[in-house]
Amino acid sequence: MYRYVLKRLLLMIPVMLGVSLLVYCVLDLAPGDAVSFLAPADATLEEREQIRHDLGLDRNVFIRYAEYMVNMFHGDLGKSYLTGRDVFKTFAEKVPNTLYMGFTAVFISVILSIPLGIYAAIHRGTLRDNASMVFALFGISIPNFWLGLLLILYFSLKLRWLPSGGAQRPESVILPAITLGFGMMAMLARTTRSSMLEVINQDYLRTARAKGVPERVVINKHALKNALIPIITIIGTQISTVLGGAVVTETVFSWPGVGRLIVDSLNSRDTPQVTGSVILTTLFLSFIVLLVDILYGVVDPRIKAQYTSSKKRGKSVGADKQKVSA
Amino acid sequence: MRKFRCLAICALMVLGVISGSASAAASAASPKYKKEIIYATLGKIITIDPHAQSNTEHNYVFRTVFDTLLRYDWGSATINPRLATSWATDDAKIYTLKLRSDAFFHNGEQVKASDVAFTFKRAVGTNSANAVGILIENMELVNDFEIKIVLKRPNVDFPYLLCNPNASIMSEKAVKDDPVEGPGVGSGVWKIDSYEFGDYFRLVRNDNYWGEKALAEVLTIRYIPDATGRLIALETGEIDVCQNPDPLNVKKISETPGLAIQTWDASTMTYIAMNMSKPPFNNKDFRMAIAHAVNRKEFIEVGRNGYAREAFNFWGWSQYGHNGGTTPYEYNLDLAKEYLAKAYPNGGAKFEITVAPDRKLIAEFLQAKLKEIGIEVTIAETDYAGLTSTLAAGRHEATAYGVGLNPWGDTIRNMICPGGANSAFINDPRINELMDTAVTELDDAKRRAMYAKIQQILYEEAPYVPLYYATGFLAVKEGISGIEFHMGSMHNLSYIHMVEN
Amino acid sequence: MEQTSKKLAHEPEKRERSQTTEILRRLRKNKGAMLGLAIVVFLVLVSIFSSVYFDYDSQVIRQNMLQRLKSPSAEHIFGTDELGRDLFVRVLYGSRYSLVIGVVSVLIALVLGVFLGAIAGYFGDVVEEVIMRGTDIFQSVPITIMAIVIVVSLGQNMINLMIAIGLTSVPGFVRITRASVLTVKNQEFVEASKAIGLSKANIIFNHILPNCLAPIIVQTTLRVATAIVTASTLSFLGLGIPAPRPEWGGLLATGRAHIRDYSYMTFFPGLAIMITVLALNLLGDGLRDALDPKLKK
Repeated sequence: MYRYVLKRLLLMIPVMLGVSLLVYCVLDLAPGDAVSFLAPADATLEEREQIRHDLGLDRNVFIRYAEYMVNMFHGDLGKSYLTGRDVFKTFAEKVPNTLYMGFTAVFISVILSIPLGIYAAIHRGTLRDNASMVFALFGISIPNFWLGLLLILYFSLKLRWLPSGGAQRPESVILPAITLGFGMMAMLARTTRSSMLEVINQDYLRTARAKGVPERVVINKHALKNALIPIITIIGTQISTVLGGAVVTETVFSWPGVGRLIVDSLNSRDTPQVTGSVILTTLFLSFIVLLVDILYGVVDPRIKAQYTSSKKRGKSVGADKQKVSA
Repeated sequence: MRKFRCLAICALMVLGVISGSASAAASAASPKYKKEIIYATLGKIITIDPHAQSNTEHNYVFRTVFDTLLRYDWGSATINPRLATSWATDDAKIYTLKLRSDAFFHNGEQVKASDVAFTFKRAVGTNSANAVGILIENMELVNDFEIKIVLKRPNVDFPYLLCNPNASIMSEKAVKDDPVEGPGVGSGVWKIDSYEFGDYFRLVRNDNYWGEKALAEVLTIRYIPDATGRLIALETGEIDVCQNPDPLNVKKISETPGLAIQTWDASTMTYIAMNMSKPPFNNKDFRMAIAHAVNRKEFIEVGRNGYAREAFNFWGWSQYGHNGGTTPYEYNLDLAKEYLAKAYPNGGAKFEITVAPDRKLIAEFLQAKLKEIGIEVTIAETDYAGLTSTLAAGRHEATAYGVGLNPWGDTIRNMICPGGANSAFINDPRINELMDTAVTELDDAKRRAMYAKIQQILYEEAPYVPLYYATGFLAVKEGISGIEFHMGSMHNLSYIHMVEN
Repeated sequence: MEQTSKKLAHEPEKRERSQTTEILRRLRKNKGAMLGLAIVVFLVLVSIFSSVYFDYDSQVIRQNMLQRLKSPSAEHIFGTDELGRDLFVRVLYGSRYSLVIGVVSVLIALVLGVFLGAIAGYFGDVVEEVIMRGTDIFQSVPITIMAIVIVVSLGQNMINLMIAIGLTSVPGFVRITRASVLTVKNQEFVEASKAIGLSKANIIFNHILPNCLAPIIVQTTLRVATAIVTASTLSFLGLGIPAPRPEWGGLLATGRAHIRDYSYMTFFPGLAIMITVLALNLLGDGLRDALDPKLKK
């Protein structure tokens, strides 16, 4: 187990190196540079050249990257071209917003989807089941920026119930969180349903029913408990998908989070800020995936056993799940 | 010349120190003002340093947090005293300024001549204030409240430059004590309370301001890049002012109860630039063909839903020396076809126009229009960073773009002389020479004549097709007032307020 | 997925044909899948016939200032956009961009991913390690962010868009193919092929891969759906195919600017994307169930 965790941690180093190399150098191909945003509109060519020189942009990209790497291993992700502020500090300012939205999304989707899935399973084959599952299927298929727009249209513009964007008020998080968590909710509802169906007719439940245990207790206590493991699996793998999908949601709702920071920095060719933010995001997501994998080991001994037999299981759990996510 | 004799201006100072709309609200039996005003912008603010940026959104901050030596008043088109109580020059080369002695920075330090000297020395080599800094040969501190600025070359526009936010006076002590937060210490009506780049700026009222104090207590500038997002936020009451609503929405906004539209006659010109340095637009006939195939009124309809002032020639309408309406390109498709036939006797005229998303509509419309006379236009869409680098390097054939033109004559230099924002790559010795001479010319009539001549050359050479000056819009909550508009991008939000019932 | 291929691999090769008919029978029984298939066929027909039926220059991109921002009516059933163009025509015509981008980008991913996955699975050792670590790197960055970085860097046009989306879909194919190949490669028929001296390429592509088809087919179908959403997302963020081509995401982005007063402009393109994705998901789910009866309840 410890060896497994250690190995996974060590594997993150080449991943980080690869990601940073990829982003830093690919970004160098992009037309234009940060000078466009630093020089005033009427700047002369000399003034532009001076700014370019000050940023070091007139040097070879690989030399710049090598320096960046050396600094990175000293714990310094550099300074933003645009603001001149520390990349890590800027990133850290935005992280709480994204996590707040992300975890609210996960929370909302969990508390809505599990009852829906159970409901569908209990009424299996009826119209109600079908309706729930059609709803879930729509949930998986709906592009989340469109959903976001529809929610704004209805809940903020028409009903005036909720703010349309920003993170100024406590209730601001609701619409973005629903938007972000909708796909996950749909997936969870489907998984809950099928996983409930699997256990619902098992012998021990029949025994419980025969013993006169009320149906509600049978479902909530006995069935749900056993159906929970696949559900937790999905939650675990979806957390990183949800956080990764925050880019678009943050754009739609003007939410000052990491996703918008990356897109904004990318548009202004702020290479250190983009690279640093992508590295930190990737690192963070990798840790979450690892954490989830370790949790399975604690929850389910069968999975723990696999740590020793199959080498790269952890990652592929999330990876092979096919889900349409924006 | 008479304009630059200072004594007349000094008299203005006695009449009233503060210009513009601010004074109106202060007198009556103190009405209750809304405590916090939230102003949503489309661009993000990324610095607190007036030497680092100079676009609209940053100017909102610099105009409120800092003071300049002089202040241009748009309404009367005059330059008024601010931190400087008077200014004088005889030759447009040596300027003497006297400072007021009751102005203090937010850190408690008094504003002194040494701060002025520090500010302009610091400006050299900075991103947005270099243009001011490099004009200065040296500065001499006469005493704590008087400074003599010697320019390298005479420049009659210098007082105008001192009015710009990038010439805001910074505190020498603050910057030296704290290089990170120090550049944000000004002596203006507002002071910075807290901020997060790319999200919000929270300003609080400076109760120690020497002049009239702000009416609201808190001014928050919030970044909401999406126009619809801003507008919806205004409607749901999350913000008080929405910068640049889409012109298509303007009518409906003004009909919405509780909302209002405020407009100003902006001097930002939208134009089509044709790169003269390479084919196909090194051919003058082809440029003329385009110039005559453009119906400005239609572009105003498409680009601004009708809200704009026609641009007859390539010059700011409020800019010094504007030779209004004498040489507009005639919209005449037959003439355009004639020029086209000269340029392309065998047909096959085509070009590529490179635009950023915000001018895509104009490009699409141009494409549709020119197709009618047999010119094939392809649109290359790129983001802002891509566009500016493409334009600077001259990789484009044509572009549709905009420029903010200020009231002084020399403001257009970088558009029509080599270097800078000259996306048409016009390099005409006649223009270059005239521009150099005009900026040192103290005689009003002679200077105007030079600028008129330049405009005529621009008409004949057709590097640019001027389209329109877009009318500026703010969508606001009803009752918002006190914004001092500026035709460029330098509105003063210092006295923005909203009376509460 | 791994179970799928195991199941298939255990079947003797002789029963291949009857197995195919069995799969088709199961697929036909699945109402959802058939609905999905019908919609997909319908969309393909729409995209083909809209280019025949509508004239691009005069109906799709021709601007009409007198007809700007007209709400849906009998004349323009989806309404008109900010330049007076009929949205019904534009949405129908737009189907071809979404479908082409979806299919081509997934083909790019399919070719690259299956090739790399097969090599990784078959050769193992260093080759596998290199390929899989590379895949890790690519996969650890969220899809949208990766695609945005690539499009911004390569420049904005349809081909780069397809490359960007294709590249982000490669890891999925690599993993699935590798996993399938791993389960098949120690089967007897592979040993037999090696024994009679067939070349490695021959073994991999003619003998092993055909036995790994099931999960790859499912993956392909579902990936097309993902690709369409990613493409429209990028267009929505202003990184899509250039104007005036009516790509759905681009139409949505324009619609967003007018959502307050002209919300119909947002409604129809979004609906089109959702229906397409829904159909592909239905079909993909159906295929998975049909190919892997064990999962079916």
